[in-house]
Amino acid sequence: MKCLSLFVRAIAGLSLVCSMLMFSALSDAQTENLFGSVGAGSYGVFDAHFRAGAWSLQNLPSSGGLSGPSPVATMNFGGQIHVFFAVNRCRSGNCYVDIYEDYSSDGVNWTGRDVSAEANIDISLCPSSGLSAYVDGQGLPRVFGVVGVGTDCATTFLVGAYFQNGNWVAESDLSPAGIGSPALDTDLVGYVYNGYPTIWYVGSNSGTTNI
Amino acid sequence: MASGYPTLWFISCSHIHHVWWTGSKWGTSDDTALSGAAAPQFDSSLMGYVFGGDESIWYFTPDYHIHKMWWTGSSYSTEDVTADAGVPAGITWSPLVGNANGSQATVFYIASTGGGQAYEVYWNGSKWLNYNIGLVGAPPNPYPSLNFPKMAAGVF
Repeated sequence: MKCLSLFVRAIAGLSLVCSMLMFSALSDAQTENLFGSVGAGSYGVFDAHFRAGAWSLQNLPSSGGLSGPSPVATMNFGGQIHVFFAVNRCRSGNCYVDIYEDYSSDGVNWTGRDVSAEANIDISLCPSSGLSAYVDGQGLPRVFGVVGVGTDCATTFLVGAYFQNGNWVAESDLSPAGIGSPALDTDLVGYVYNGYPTIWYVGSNSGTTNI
Repeated sequence: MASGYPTLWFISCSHIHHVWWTGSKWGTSDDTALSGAAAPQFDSSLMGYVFGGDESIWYFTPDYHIHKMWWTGSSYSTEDVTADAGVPAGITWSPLVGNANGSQATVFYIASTGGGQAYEVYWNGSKWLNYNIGLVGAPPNPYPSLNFPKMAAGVF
């Protein structure tokens, strides 16, 4: 498995939900969006949207400031577009790479929210790894990422948060003993299977692990 | 191919491999070998979705053409989407994302021309069409191979 690609995508039968691409059936909007982070100086997250027969581009207001591209994940929840990405934020005297979201009901006016701070995830996201976001079988929005400690994320953990009663709450423990920790730079792929949230990643033991 | 069970594709040694849960055990296959499709670039972005009831996998070949491989229920089919759509090849660090929206199948990528132009290529039910979305930015070159730019797409 020495040449295993870290880039993985998943399909779950006819109920496809993929981490890096997200689509839904909101019939009142039907606006096509493309979000990405490919550089252009501050490595923000661009929003390309198709309206009135043409594409136009803008940057998400809360994004930017990273030294490399940010992972990007999207979900559609509560009639709003939710876009998740990485940002540098300092709080309580410490600085982190946080999971952040911009959300909008019209794709024009955006509101920012620091998911990591709200969920008390006081450990930095490894921005070269993936993010995954989707709504689970219970209707709870979820976001997953890879965080790390040490120089260049020497030790990694899978983290997740779910949105309940108006707040982001951290998952208790997604990296229990006996489960391989995520490889740095792994992509994340998540979807709902039989109503349960599922997340795929490449493990540091060179295998692909499904939790 | 399984249906309704967890399924995953990945690239190993320039072949697309496939693992799926049968309900009682994991199955595996080398879909590049089984399909006879063009082999992927070893570090290609890889994405998939269900379109028209068929599981489709999209990837870059070493010439950075977008290829599509799909399972019809009884056999594989393959297509060079870049050639058939008449669009520029992808840039080496391009992500690959897309979705299915009714009868429309869509893929987004960044072209090798124009210094970082994002393209949408879509099947409208009878032919491939495309949009040049515009300049979205060009990372340094050479780009860290495991730190690809990321994109996500959707219809909201």
